[in-house]
Amino acid sequence: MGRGWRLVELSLLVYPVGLLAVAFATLNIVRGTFWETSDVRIVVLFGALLLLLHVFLSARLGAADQALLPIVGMLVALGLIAVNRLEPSLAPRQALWIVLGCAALVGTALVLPRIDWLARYRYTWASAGILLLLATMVFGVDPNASGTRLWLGFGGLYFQPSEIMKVVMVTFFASYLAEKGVLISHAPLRIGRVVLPPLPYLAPLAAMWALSMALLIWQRDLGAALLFYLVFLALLYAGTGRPYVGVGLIFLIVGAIVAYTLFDHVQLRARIWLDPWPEAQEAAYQIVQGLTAFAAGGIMGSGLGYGYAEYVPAVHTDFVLAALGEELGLIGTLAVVALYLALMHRAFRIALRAPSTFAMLLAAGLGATLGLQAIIILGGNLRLIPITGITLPFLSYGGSSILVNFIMVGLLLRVSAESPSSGGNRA
Amino acid sequence: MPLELSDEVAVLLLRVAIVALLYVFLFSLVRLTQRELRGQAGARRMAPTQGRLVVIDRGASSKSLGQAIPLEPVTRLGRSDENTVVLDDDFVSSQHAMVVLKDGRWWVRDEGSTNGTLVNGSRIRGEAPLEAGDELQLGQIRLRFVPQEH
Repeated sequence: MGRGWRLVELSLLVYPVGLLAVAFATLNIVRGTFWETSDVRIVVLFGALLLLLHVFLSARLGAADQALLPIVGMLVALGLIAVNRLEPSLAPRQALWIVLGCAALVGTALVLPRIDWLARYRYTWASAGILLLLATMVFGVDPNASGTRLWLGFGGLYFQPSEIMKVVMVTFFASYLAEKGVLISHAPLRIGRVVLPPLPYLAPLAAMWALSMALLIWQRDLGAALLFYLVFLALLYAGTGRPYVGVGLIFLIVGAIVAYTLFDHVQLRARIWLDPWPEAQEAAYQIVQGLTAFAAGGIMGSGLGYGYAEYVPAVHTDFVLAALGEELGLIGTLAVVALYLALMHRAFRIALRAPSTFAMLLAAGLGATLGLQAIIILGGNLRLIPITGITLPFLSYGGSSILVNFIMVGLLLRVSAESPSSGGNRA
Repeated sequence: MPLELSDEVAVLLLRVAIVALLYVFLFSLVRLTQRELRGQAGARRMAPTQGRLVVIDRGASSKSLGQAIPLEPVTRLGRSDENTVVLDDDFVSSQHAMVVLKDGRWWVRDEGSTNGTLVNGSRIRGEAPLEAGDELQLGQIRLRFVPQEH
């Protein structure tokens, strides 16, 4: 805690603002408009917002990680560029969500008396999260005709409770494993070479997991279900140091087979993943258009504003990388992947220096969530894995996703500020 | 869309600028990480030894009596070469035990060894905290735990 000059952060923050300004200038020239006032306003607002966050961090959390905010700034700038390019009418709304997200970041970093305070009320968070999901099942709406009722409406703004569940789950598992991890890895049950964990201690974990899983499958939000399960495995491994991952992957395969036999839409996703070409005009239209966009972009890309991204359905949410791939090329998509790698690296670095076991698991879990989410959707876009509709963190258009991702960054910054030996501000 | 030549040049320059901004940013991150790693390595060299294991019975190993083994935050003990501390005693398993520093406390954990890890003569199950002066036994080797002196 405390004050500190954060010159590294300040110097790195020049890049996201510069990127946004250059990209908006390109779009204005290509469109033949001369600096639309709304564009100028967004660039100025974005710069002011980053500067405000920087001043806030310098005043209150001087020791916090200095690379995190610039990395997030780069991703958010790319997101604003994409939404301005693809759905300019949605750009002000996206900007509003980013402002709200920054407020949530400051709120998270400021309001928490101590990071361990989150652990103390873990059952409260878990119950609240599950209530929200239940509420979605009853009152859920589907504002953009995606076929699933995953949103709660409130005064024209829509919120997706499964997004906030990500933070709730990570907090719950981290605090539970921090307290019981030693007991779980104690392993008194042994059959030959097989070590069985003490079941009474694992039961609440499994129950929590099964409950959220059931809710998600019921709501057909398979991307989120996959993400939750993988984050759960990552945390179990980080918390106990025992290779439960192998067993967990067997469960994952069994779960996938069950989902495949039970749900038509899972079969469809698998079919168009393995061979999209026969259905290129129907079910696999989105995937094929996405792949075509990547191919058209080549290595250097067609240049901002010169692509035909409008032909990819849901291009501003699930397929935003396809648009970037076409207009910025391989060179641009590689930079995006590198930015997510850098984000994960910072999160795991924070975890390694965390002041307590809970804080360590929390940071590792948040890093795993952001990274796995990026991998799941990027892999889907590139047809490496079946496509599941989740957002690309900070880049996709989508309010609740942006808001929750900012909260996660707020938590990471807070953990890093509490590290005993944080040498982050020694440049 | 009719673009004039100067606009085309401008767009080309802006395209190069976008790529440059992305990669110069990533390059600065790499340099920052490099600096941090160097700083960390320096700090580690200066840090005092936080804990040691002193050999009080060398069993059939090549360790010498009274030898002090400095502990790392994660120290693996066992017969195979991958371990931080290699104990070449026939009664020591290849991955025998692990000593870890967690929340400012030292713990010893049995890694599923055949003959077990003993703390003060009693076999531990899973993980056990270590106190100053505790006697660890792995195979025929006995070690005394000595934490950092203030």
